[in-house]
Amino acid sequence: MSEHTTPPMRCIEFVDYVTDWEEGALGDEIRAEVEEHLAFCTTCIAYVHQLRATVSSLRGALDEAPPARAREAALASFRARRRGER
Amino acid sequence: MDAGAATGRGPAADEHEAKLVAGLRAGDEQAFCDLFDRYYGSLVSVARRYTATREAAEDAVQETFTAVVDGIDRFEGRSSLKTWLFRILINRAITRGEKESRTQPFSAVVRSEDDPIVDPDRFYGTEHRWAGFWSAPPSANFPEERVLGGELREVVRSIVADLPPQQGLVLSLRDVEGMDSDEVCELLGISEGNQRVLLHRARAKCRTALERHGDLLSGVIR
Repeated sequence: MSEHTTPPMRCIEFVDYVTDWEEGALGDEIRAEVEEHLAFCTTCIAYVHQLRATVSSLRGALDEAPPARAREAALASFRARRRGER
Repeated sequence: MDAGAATGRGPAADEHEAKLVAGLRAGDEQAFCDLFDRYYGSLVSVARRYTATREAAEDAVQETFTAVVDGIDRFEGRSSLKTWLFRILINRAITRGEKESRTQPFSAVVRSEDDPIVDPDRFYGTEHRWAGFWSAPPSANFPEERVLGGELREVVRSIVADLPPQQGLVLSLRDVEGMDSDEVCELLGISEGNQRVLLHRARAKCRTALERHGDLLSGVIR
C-alpha cells in the first residue's frame, strides 16, 4: 500500500486486531494494514510472540490425574454395563 | 510473520481416536481408562463453568462417561470423539447447573466488555508525538516457553480458572483442547464473531497475567 487515505495503524489499534488476524478473519484492506504495521514495529512483533507463547502454554494445561475414587467409580460403572449388555 | 497457528486434528490423532472408539465398542477396559484419564481434568474444569460446586461438576463428568459407554454404538463419527464427549458433558453440566439455579454462561447474550485489550496507559497519550505507540512495551521478563510448560504450569491453570465463564469456556476448548472454531461455536451455540471476541479477550488476559508473573519473579513489581 503506497497511498494512505487514513493514517497508518498504530500499536493501540494493532492489539485490537491481533486475534482476528491470527484467525484469518480480516478483510484484505485491514489485513494489509496489520501486516504493514508488523513489518516495522518490533514491539508489536514481541507482543504477538508473547501471545503465541501464551497459547502454546495452554495446550493440555487442564490435564490432571483423576482422583482414585472418581476413577474407581467410573470403572465400576463401566464393568457393570459391560456385564449387563455384552 | 504469518497469520494462523496450527490446531486441530492430524492423521495420528484420527488413528488414535479410531482405535479408542473400536476399543470402547469392544468393551475394552484399557480404552475406557485411556479416555477417562486423558479427558477427566479438562471435562471437570469445563463443567465447573456451569455448576456451583466442584462436586456437581464431577457428577456431570461421571454421567458423561456412563453416557459414552451406553452410546458408543450409536456414535457415527460425524464429529470427533472429543467433540462428542464435550457435547454430552455440556448438556449434563447445564442440567446440573439449572438444578442448582445457577446462571448459565450462555443463557444471556455474549457480554461485550468495554475494557480495553491492553491497558491504554501502556501507550503514549494523544499529546505525544508517538501517540498510540507503546510507551510501556511487553515486558522482557515474560516467562520463557520452557518455564511456562514446566514450573509455571500451576500458574497457567489458575489464570485460566480466573477467567470470566464465557471467556474461560472458549479458551479451554480452543487453546487447551485444540478444537477448531467451528466445533467450539457449535458446542457453545455462539457465532464465529462472538467466539473470536471472547478468545481475543481471554488470550490477552492470560498474556498480561503471565507478563505480570514474570515481572513479579524478576522483582520489577511487588
